[in-house]
Amino acid sequence: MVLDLIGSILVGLMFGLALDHVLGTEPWGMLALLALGMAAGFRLMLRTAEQQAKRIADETNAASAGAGAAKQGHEDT
Amino acid sequence: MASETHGADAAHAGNSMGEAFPPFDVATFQSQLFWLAIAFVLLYVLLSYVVLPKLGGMIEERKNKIASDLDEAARMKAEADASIVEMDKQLAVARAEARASAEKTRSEIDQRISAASAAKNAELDQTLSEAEARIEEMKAAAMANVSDIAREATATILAQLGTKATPKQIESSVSKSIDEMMA
Amino acid sequence: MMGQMALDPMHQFKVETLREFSIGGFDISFTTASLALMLVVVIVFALLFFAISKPKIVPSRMQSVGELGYEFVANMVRDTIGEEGIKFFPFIFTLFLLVFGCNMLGMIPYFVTPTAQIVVTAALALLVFFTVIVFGFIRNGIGFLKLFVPSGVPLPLLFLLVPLEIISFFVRPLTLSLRLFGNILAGHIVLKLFVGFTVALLGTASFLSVFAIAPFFLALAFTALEFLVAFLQAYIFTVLTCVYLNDAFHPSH
Repeated sequence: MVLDLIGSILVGLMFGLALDHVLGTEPWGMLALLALGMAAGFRLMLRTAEQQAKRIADETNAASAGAGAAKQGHEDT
Repeated sequence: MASETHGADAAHAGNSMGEAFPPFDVATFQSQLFWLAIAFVLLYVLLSYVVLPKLGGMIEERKNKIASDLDEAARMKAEADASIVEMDKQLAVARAEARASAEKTRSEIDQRISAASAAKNAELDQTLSEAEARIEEMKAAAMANVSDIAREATATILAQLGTKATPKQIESSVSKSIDEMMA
Repeated sequence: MMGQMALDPMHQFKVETLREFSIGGFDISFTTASLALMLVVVIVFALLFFAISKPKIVPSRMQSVGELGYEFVANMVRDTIGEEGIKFFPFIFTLFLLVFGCNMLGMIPYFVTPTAQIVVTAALALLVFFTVIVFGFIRNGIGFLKLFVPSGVPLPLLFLLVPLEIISFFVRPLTLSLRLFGNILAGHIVLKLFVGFTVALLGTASFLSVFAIAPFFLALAFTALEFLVAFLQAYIFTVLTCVYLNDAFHPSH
């Protein structure tokens, strides 16, 4: 999950630098895409958290019915 | 080239980093990529052409076997159920037959009994009525005798007592007292 | 420095060249990492070949293990992608076995762990990434781009969300490779550190040697944990591959 955030920021940064390089708009593309990368990272993190919360809720609900669902998202990061 | 100083132009940058942190040693990347590609393709081909068809076939076969066994079991169960139904039916038929024949026999016997008893009753009734008639006759005869005996006895007694009485008087009083007695 | 070599926690990740080769300037030397990869392929194939050599309706132990692995990955594909995803089953099964085999081989001392090499994990992640893109466009044509357009969102908001979705999409190979790489690398470093402490404390040949028992048991406990991590990381890598491939099958969400 933390990796999603860091990765998104890195990807945003990389895209921004590439954009600046092509368009010659330093440093605005880098800054804009850095912000977008952060936003994307938080969004991804929230989505993952939501999914995990849902999965945990499902598992507790279906605890008696047998743990059928694939135990997704055991991410060690 | 036992050391990572070997290599292409990029090795210079990779060297300083790779010395401290081997996974980032750029010098090894080319050969690693090459052998990874070989390993992946080799494993992919071996799996998809040798292992997976057979493994999948085995699992499929087991599934089919289980399914067909289940079908067989279901079929046999259906057969058993059908024969149970058949047996019940035959049993019911046999029971009905037995009941019918018992009923028939009973009614026959009843008929015979009633016929026999009717005949016997008629016979007995006749005997009875004959006997009654005879009794009636004998009774009447006896009654007639009783009044004769009484009259004679009365006349004799009266004669001995010296009392005179007409046979008519005797007749009436005797029959009167007999009537009283009989009543 | 020479004596310290064996205790250096980074030394285990060093790839040594065994035989030098090159084709047209491209270095294809056979290294300890190549040896580990080939060993994984040979061992995995040998085990599976043994599993399928004498098929029985009531399976032998090896056969059960093989079928278990098959069903495990097949169910994963079915649950995340659906019946149509079975087309990618050999690909995903190969990926799972390769990553799992590398992680497990890494548990044996003196072997290089290929999955603790960033090139290897990055190459595998990029392979998945480009497979998704190529297959996504083949299957859906231009409709694959619907992947970046969240449904049921007003138009003005899309101008913000589409770039976010695109960034999220490009993050995938990065996180996919770094997660596997980081977990395996960190586990091996920590394990090596505990072993190093044990050896160092024993090496003092004084009353301090008694304390060597603490890092020794920590190393033992950590080894058990690392076996779990080896499986779990292979599992996560494979599940995420399925999830990403699912986008190529069902781009609109």
